[in-house]
Amino acid sequence: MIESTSNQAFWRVGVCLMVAMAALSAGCGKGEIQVYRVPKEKPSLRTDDGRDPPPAAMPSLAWKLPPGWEEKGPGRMSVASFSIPGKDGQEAEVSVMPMPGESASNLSLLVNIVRQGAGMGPIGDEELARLVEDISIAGLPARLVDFSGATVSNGPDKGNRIILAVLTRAGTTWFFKMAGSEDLVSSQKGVFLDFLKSIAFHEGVAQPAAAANVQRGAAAADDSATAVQAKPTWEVPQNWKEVPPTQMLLAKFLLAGPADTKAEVTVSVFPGEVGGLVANVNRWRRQIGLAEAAADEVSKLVSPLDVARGKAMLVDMSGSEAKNGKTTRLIGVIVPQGAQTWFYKLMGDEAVAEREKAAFIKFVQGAKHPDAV
Amino acid sequence: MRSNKVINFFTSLRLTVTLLAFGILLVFVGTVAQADEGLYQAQERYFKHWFVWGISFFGHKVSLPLPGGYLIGTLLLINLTSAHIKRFQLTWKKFGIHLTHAGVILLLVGQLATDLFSRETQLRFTEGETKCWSESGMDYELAFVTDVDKDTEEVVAIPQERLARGGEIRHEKLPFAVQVKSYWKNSDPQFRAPMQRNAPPLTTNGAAAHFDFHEIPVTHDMNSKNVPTAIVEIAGAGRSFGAWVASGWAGDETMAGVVRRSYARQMGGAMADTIASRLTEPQFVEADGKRYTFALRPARAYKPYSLTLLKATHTTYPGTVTTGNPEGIPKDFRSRVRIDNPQKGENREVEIYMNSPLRYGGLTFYQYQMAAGELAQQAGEAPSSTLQVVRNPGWVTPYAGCAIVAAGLIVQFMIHLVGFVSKKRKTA
Repeated sequence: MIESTSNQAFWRVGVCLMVAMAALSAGCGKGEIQVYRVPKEKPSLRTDDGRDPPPAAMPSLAWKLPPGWEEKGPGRMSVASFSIPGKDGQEAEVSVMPMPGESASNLSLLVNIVRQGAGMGPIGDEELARLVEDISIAGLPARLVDFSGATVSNGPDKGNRIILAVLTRAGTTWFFKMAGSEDLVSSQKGVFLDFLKSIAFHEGVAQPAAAANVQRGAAAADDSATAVQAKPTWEVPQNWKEVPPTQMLLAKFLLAGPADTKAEVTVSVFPGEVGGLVANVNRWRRQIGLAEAAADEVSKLVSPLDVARGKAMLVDMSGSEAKNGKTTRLIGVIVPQGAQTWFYKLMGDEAVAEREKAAFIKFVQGAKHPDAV
Repeated sequence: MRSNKVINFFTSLRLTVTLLAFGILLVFVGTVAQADEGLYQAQERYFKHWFVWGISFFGHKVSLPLPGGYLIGTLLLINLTSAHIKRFQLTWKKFGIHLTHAGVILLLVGQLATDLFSRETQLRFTEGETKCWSESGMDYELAFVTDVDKDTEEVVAIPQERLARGGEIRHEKLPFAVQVKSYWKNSDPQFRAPMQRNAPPLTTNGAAAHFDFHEIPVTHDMNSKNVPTAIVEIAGAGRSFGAWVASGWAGDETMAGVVRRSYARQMGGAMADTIASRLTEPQFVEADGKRYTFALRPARAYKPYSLTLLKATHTTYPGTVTTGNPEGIPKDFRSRVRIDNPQKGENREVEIYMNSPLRYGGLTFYQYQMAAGELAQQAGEAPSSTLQVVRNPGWVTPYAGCAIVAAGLIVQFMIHLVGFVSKKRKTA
């Protein structure tokens, strides 16, 4: 009887322990979908390495460019900036800056930060209340603060009058700032207000602040991602017209020929071998409608070229333009330098390319690249 | 009769010795294997499984099956418990032995509880930043986030283990199905620069339009990390929202920072910002009138309170910062944080520093890493601090178990000592 009880206890304990262990080790919720409700994540003011973050899902911005204003493109903090020339070398600047969050709720703090940056003393809430006007930007209520300071130090805003419009929209605070000399800003205030009225937001484009998809007037051009890699020092032939580079290009030149014929030279730089010689030559071949070539064939197409620091690889091919079947010439030079590879490409009308080939090669050979890090 | 044999087997001292021998062997083999398999995988395969099928031994694969940590631990527990029951005698003379055995059982159970329920995550924040969650250093989750109201969002988090199984994933909170087309435990991103567009993108949506991702071998190196990437197709209500790439390189702030810094070194900061922003652009689909933003991000553990980093202090011993050792010899890492717990109406500041963790809400916050001081300043980085957040409900069991074992041994020793002395006195 005692043995029987002891046996039962043994089995009970053993089975329980085994079942418990198996259940615990197999369970624990690993692999199960979790659902939870949490407070909305506030945009971090810093990215991982402490830099200002690219605002997420930034809408694109459109406006009507006032006459006399000159676009300066996006800056480090701004998605757009403009220069307004005045008399006697006077100049005013307009910039558009988005900031994550709804910091506009503390207008006093913002205004005093701007004033401090311009070398002006702080103002109190009462004085601020007198300066604030309610306006509308893109159909949304915004506030406009117009202030001047008697003394201006050598702050970043080289003027003594600032007009600041602040708009909070979809979790982002937008700043529109015009700063400059008293006379010029005063004369441009109405234009600035018209400019603000012309502002329109378009959703669905996620871009970083400094590269927001800014639509300039009616023409939308995405050349915002222009590289700011230091350019090589080079001698540009006089008949080449430098134009703003498009995405991922370091430089772009237009080469005009007779009867609307043209070619263009583009320069870009990327880290590493970026696919290697064969892949890049074949990529160029595809651009002019040629079939891809095998490695041994590519090596026959390529000829060495002496450049400022070492050797480069030159390829000269003719194909046709996909759109109209017109003969197109592509002369490309691949310059490996340190951890980077530089790409120079002359592409366009056969005759223009032939005319410019020597100048192009000279241009490449004379280019002194900045040291790769 | 047969059951007697089974009982004798499970209660035998021979089994105890055999299991302890296997335990020693497993610890040795499991420790050696860490060099080949990495710490975490070796721990998982050798100590957190019932059986080990094949071992790594000094760079060689050996087809030797071994009992795993779970099996040895369970059998030891059964052996000890059943032997105790079988031989149990309610007498003061054996009280010390009972106590010692109870202590050992507590140690075994406590270790199991630690293994099963403990969780280590990390909380990284820059000065001024507030967070109410910590993140896993190894595990990822595909999180679909949608707004509930202006202050709250709902998260449906699919763990990487589920993604790795592939197939279709459905959940009642998602108005679409997620079809896992590929899942790579470790991957590498490559910016699709014009020079590198030699093949079509993995998908035409989101980050994949600008980045290629490649599967790379799983790393066991302690200094590197496996960053997963999944290709998923999202479909619901009779339509497909297309295929998307969800990568830890995009959803993990730290890894996106690594990509940015890598390009910054080669191409300059502004270009790197542009490239990194292409990687981290939020990806979303709109279904049932709601926007579902999704990312493969480090698995999060949310808390009902938040921590704000007020000040990160990294001091070094004077004179130890040299060109050869720009980091110097650290003297102190210290984070001043504010706890804000609306449920308890608590809002206070505390300091966390080496050997002085914060114990709060069942968690322990240890000072783990820091990027502050002159070096961070020179690199143009905001001071930041990383806390190791440890949840270990069984943390007290080793202390209690050891104390009980010690008490049992002392009691048993004293019982014998007293008995011996009394006997000697009587004979004298």
